[in-house]
Amino acid sequence: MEQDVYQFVKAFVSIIWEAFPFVVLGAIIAGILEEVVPQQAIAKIVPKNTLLAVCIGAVLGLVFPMCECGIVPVMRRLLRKGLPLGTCVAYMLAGPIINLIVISSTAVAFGPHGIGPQMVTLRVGLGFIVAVTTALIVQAQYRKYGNRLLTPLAMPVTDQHGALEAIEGTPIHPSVNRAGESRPLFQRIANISETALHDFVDIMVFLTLGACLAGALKVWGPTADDVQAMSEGYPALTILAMMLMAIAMCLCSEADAFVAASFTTMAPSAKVAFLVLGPMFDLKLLLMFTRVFRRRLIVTIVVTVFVQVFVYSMAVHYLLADWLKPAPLTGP
Amino acid sequence: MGHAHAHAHTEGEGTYFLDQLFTILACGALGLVAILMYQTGVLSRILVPMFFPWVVGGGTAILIMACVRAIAVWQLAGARRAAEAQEEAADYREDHGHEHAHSHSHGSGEACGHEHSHAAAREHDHGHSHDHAHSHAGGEEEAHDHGWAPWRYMIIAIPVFLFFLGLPRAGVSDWERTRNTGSGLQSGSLRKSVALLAGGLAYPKTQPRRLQLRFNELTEAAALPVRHEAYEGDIGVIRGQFSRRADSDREFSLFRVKMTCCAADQIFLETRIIAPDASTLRGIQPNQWVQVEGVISFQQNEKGKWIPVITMQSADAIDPNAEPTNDVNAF
Repeated sequence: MEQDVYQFVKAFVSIIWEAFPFVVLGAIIAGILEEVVPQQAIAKIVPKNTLLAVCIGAVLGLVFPMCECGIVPVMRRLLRKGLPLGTCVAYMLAGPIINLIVISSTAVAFGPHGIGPQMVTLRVGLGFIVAVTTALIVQAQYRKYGNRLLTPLAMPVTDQHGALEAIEGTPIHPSVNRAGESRPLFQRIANISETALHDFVDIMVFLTLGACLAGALKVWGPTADDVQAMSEGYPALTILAMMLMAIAMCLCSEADAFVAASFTTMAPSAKVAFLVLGPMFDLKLLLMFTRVFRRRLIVTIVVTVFVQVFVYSMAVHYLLADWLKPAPLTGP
Repeated sequence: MGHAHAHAHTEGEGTYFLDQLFTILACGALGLVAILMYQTGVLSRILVPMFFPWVVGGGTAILIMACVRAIAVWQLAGARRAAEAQEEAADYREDHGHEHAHSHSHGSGEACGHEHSHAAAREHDHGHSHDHAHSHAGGEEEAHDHGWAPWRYMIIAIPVFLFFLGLPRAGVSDWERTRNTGSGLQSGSLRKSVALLAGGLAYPKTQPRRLQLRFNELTEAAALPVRHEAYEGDIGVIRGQFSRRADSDREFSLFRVKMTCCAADQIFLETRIIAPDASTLRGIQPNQWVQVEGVISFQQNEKGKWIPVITMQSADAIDPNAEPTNDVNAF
């Protein structure tokens, strides 16, 4: 039991400290966004066409790469600044997959297995499709329910006519639309620090709780080898098991490809499910979502993503099995 | 749609500053611990070196933010105290027993963006009280929490406490090693039968090559049966950490822990070694680094996973004083 606890602490602490710098980065970016970016600026840049706006959100990670932990505070401030919910959701879901770091790590992880390009193509392609489809559904839901889908901390600042407006407040109040106002430099930095620390604490609390759950499951849950042995011969079961593993393990999207590659006898379709779902939704992200979205929206996102990943992975299993077979390689 | 609420702040003016104080302390402590973890080497137990600059940079950044915030809150508290002193002086000049209030309104659907508590209203012992009213025009439910939530700070203080308790510990525990290298080899495979007929577990080659192998090179080859023939029968030299097996006195595992980013993603790479006799392994401790030379073959374990097997050909084919290496990490 003592060894179990040490192992739990190791996994728990490692998840926290790995995510820590990216949460700090996300919180500081959130603070700068809140302080510097004018309320109207983002709304003006985004295309009016919903599909185009969502597609841009899905590939934004190529320009602004962020991991799944850092993306949450940034997205919350972008929502407040008027970025459409669908675009934000597309960026949140696809950003941790469609960025150069993750694309490279996937290629490196599966390169020695002879299926590097195939896995990269499937991961990026399915990640894009899942993110865009989910974002379009979310955007449709937003038209019906409006800001009731968001927590107060994530609601865009608008007046009754839908136009963005500034609100009054105290000099240190982070909800104030300060951008464009002339303020002393220290006051600006102090404002950024207030928003950044607030968002950092807010997200770290739920990151810590998520890491705790993930650490417990890593120690007391089944190993990947167990899952592999139990579900052998049943592709649907294997894919579902790997999706649950992705949710439970809370791995960083830069590292998960190496873990997936280590499941040597598992079907590639199950690995694809693991690689596409993990960066979009896991235990720590679920808890972090509660700081941005209401329950209705969280359920929509989770169900839409989960169902799509399962269906697409099954299609990969039955339609692309030959394409995913490694070519015979020469020896050393 | 709109609603208004007014509340006398009986929780006291200290709540806002208490919340700010705890935010500063919690963030500052985490930043400091991030730097200390690097300095004391604890970070290397849980993260790969690639992340060290990130963690130190993140710790420094949050520490600076906490310092800036501390100065800002200090200034605010000073300004607030001066304003209160002026207000009280004015109150004494007026008739006691009046009531005054202040309010601010939030725009439609707007929220403050953070939980906060208000320090403005308070009750005086000389007969007047302040009321502080918000009106949320077109607002949602309660847009922010009044008062502070100590449980949040207790949760984010956990990594700080664990660091000062000396956790997590270094090295590979018995539990990890046994869990990840404990599976037995399958018996009855055709390849194994042929190899046994040839004199051992290894499938022989007429002109074997001597290969100095990286650990993951062999485990990656094991994962792909199409690559087995390229290695089988050759002489492999490989370095790893020793793990004794409970079910055999001449079979042991060499393992390496491959960490891509953090300890949560670490995986165990294993090569099974067959020694000529039990005396070869005498005195070798668990986790000790050894170098082994022998004939390469591949076998499935009980869970169906292919693992490399090296059959030592003599007792001196093991070097128990091998230097540790770090050649399995991806980056």
